[in-house]
Amino acid sequence: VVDPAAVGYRGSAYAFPIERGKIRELALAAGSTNPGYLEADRPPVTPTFLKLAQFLWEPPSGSVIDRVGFDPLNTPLHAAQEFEFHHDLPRAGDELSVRSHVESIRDRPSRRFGTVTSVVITSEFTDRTGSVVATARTTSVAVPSPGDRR
Amino acid sequence: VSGSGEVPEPPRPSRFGPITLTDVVRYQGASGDLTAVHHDDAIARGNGYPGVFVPGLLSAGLLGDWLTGWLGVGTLRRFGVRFREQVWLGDVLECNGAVAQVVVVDGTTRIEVDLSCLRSGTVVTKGWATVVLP
Repeated sequence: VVDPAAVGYRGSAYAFPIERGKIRELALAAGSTNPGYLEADRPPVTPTFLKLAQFLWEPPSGSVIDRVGFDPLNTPLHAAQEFEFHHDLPRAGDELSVRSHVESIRDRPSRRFGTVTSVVITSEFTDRTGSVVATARTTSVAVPSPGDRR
Repeated sequence: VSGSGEVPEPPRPSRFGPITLTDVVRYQGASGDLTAVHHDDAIARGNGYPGVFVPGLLSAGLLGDWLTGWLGVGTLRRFGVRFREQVWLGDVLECNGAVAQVVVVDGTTRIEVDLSCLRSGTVVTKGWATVVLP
């Protein structure tokens, strides 16, 4: 069950190396034929690439997702996603550091499910010099169990 | 304010699909997101859905690839999506977009783009982006 007191919780910082093969793999999985991703020595990240940090590099213990407390048997839905790039895009070979926090948790009515809980998690990506190169904002929605839906 | 602000013509809409379970598994393996409702039918049904559904981020990836095929891979400043409809196996998705606004400042062209990922004319994922051309 989502814990509203999780707002403001900050996870630990963790390393996120930007790898050429991973950029290629993700581009191919989205049907890309763009040589700028597939053939370049140091391709820039694809528009959604930074989301992979959470899935592949975030340490499992003490993660912001754990702290929010989504029901493991009732998968939350991904409602929205935004990335802001403050400088030139990160490229293969870059080493970033990521730190995430819980920005907001709000109940809201949903036509389809009744009442849902909208959770916004923000992640900041910094480079080796410590400057913030990108910010990602994920909006997830915890929905009622199948029997409790409208 | 200076510069030409010329923006290349957008390419034709891209098409992806009909989406197979293999497409989903490939995307999930690449992203590291192994959420089971996207590949395990029993778990998807247990979550109250008629069957597995396609990760929203795959549609976002399709929009991103169409956008960067048009305006370049190194030019992005902002990329956002809102997932409006679930996407199902067998769906064919079409991505396109249009320039919403062009601002030229000190010789740099800043382009705001609206993006749409559609299934049979219905928007399943809406997107927006800011791109800067030198």
